[in-house]
Amino acid sequence: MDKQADVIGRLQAIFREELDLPNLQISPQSTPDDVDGWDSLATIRIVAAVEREFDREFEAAQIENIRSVGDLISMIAA
Amino acid sequence: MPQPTAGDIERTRNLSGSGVADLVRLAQYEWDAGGLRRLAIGLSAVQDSTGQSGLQAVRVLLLSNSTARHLKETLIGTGLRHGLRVDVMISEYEDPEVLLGRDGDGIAAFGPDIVVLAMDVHAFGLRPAPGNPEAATAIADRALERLRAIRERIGSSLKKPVVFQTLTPDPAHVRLHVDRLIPGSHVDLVGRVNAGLSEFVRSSGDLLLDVAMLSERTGQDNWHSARHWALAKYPFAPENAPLYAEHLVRLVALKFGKSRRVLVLDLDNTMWGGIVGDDGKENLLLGPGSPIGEAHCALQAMAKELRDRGIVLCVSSKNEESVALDAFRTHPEMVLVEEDIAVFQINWTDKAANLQALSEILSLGLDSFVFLDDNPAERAQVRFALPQVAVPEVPKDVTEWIPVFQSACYFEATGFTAEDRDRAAYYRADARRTAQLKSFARQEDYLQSLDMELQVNPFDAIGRKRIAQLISKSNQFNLTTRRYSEVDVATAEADPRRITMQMRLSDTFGDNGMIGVVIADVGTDAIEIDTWLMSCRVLGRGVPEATLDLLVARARELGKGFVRGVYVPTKKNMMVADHYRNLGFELTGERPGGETAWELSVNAYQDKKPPIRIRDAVGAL
Repeated sequence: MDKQADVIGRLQAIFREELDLPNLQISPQSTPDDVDGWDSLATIRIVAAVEREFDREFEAAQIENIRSVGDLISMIAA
Repeated sequence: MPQPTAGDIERTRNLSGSGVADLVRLAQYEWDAGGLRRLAIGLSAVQDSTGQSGLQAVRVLLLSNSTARHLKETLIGTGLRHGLRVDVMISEYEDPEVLLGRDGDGIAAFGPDIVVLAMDVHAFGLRPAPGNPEAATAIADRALERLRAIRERIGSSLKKPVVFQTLTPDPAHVRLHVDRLIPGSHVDLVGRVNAGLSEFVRSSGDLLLDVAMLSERTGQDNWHSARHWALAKYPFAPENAPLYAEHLVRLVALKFGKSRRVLVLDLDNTMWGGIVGDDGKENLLLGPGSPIGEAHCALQAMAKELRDRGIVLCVSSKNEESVALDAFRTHPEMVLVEEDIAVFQINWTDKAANLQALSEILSLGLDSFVFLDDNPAERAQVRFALPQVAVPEVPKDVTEWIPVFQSACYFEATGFTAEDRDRAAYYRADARRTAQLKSFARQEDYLQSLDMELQVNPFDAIGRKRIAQLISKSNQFNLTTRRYSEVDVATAEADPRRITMQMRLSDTFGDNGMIGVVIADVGTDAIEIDTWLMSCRVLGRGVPEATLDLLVARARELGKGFVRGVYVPTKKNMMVADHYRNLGFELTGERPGGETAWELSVNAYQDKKPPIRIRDAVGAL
C-alpha cells in the first residue's frame, strides 16, 4: 500500500505541475471529466512527465486508453 | 545558454509577484518546455499592457497543418528571452487557404504582426514518383504554387511578413543512399521544394525558418517522434519544441530590429592558448602542432567569417596593452589581423564596463552584443551586469567551442546585402574617432553574487609544488617577482620568523584553485612583505583587500605597528605599480630603478571587508 501511496504522491505532483493546479488532489478514480484542463494534449504532457519521473516508456495503445489516474497507476505498476 | 540550477527551477515555480525583469533574467537559461510554460504563466500574471514592462509586444499568427497548441506557451516563454511579449494565435489541422477565407475577421481582430506558416512535409504529401523527373518537377511545383498562393492571400488581407519553413523528410518514406540518385524519390522531392522555397523567400523578402537545418543538427531520427505523431499529430518530437521556439522567436525578433551584430572576443585562452603576459608571445598555443593551438586558430577563422558577414569584431582583454597588441600583430599564426578588429580594449577594467564603453563607441545597443570569453567568472559578471548581452556558455575544452557557439546562431539575419559586407569596416573607422572609454564601478552586487570563499593555509607539503610553480610563473600580479624553488618554499614553510600564506578561492562556479601566495617576515615593529603574488584570473574580485585584512590582523596579533612592502618593477608587473598606494599604504622610499617602499599603520587601518568569506588556517605564530 505504501508503494501505491508513493506512486499517487508522485503522480499528484506531476498533475499539479502540468495542469498548473497547485492544490489539485487526485485519486485513482480521477478522470479527465473531474480534473480541470485534463484534455488529450494534457495527457501527452502528463505521460511525458510520468515517463521521465518513472523512467518508463509507454506504448501508444496504452496512452490512448488512459481513462483515469488508475489507468496510469496500472501502467506504471505493469 | 547556461543550464538552470535547482534554485532557478524552484524560482520558476514561485513566480507570483515577480517583475518582468526577473522573468527576463530567468528566461536566459536553457529551459525545457515545462520551464518555458512556467515563465509564460508568470508573464500572464504580470498586468502590463501599456508597454512599461520594457518588452516589445508581438502578435504571432501561427498556421499549422498538425498540432501546434502545445507550442503556445513555449513560444511565449521563449519570447521573454528576446525581450518580447509574444501573443500567439494558433490554427491547427487546417489549410491556411480555408482559414484565411473563413476566419478573416477574427484574424484581423487579433491583428498579427507576423504570420508563421508552420507547414511541415505532411501538408504536401510529396508522394514519391521514383525515376520520373517530369512528375518530380510537377509535384514540387504544385507544392510551391500552393505556398505562393497562400502568401498572396496573406499579403492581400494582412500585409505582414511571413515566416516560411523548410521541410524535413517524412520518416515514413523510404530513406536509402540511392535516394539522392533517383529523381522523384521523397528526399529528392523535399530537396526540390526547399530549393524553390528558398528562392521564393529570397525574392519576396520574407523570412525562412530552416527547420531542415534544425532537424539535421538534431538528427532526423531524433527530430521526429513517430509515437507522438501517431498519438497527437505532433509535427516534431515534443523535446524539440524549445529549440524550434528559440529559432522561430529569434527570427521574429529580427523583424523588430533585435539582431546581434557585435562579437567581443577575449584574448588569453580564447583567441590563443596561454596568457601572453605570463607565458610570453613565443609560448602561446596557436596554430598547427597542438590540438589546442589548432582550435584557437579555428575560432579566429570563424570570427573572420562572421566579420565577412558584417559582424563587428572587438577585443576586450585584461592585459598589458603593448604586450597583447604585439602578439596580435606579430604572431605568425594569427588568422585575424588588426584591421579585422573595430575596437581594442586591452586594459584592466572589468569586462562589463568595457562592453558598456564599446556600446557607446560603436553606438550600438548592448542587446546587439555577443561576448566570448573562456573565464566563467567574467561571463557571469557580464551576464549579471548586462543581461542584454548574449554570453555563450562555452565548455572548458576549447576544441569543443565552435559547435556550441555555432549552434546558438547568434548572428541570424534576414538576408545579406552589400552594406552587410562593408559594415565591419565602417564601424572600425567610426570607432577610431570616438573617445576613450571610461571605467565605472558597479561591482559590489556582482561580487556579492559570486559567494566567494578564500581558504588561507600556511605553506605545507601538499601545496609545495603548486606554490613553487606560482612563484616561478606569475609575472603580472607579482610585487617583487622573487623566484623561489621548491626547496626554498620548504625552507620558508619551516621558518618560524616567516608568515606564509597559500590561498585558494572558490565561488559559486567552483574552485579556482590556488590563486595567491604571500611570504612575509616578522620584523621588530612590522610585518615585512617579501612576496605577494596573485593569479590574474581573479583580478577585480577583492582578493588583495581580503589578503591585506589578514596581514593586518596578523600584525595586530603579533603586536606589530606596521605592515611594510616593496614594489620591484619588472617588464611585466606594471599593473601592480600602484598596488600599495591603492590599498592605503604610504610611500616611504624610492630607489633608482623604480623600486618603491611602502608602509601601512596598523592602528589607523580599517578592515576593508570585501565580500569574501575567509577560512583562515594560518593563525598567529
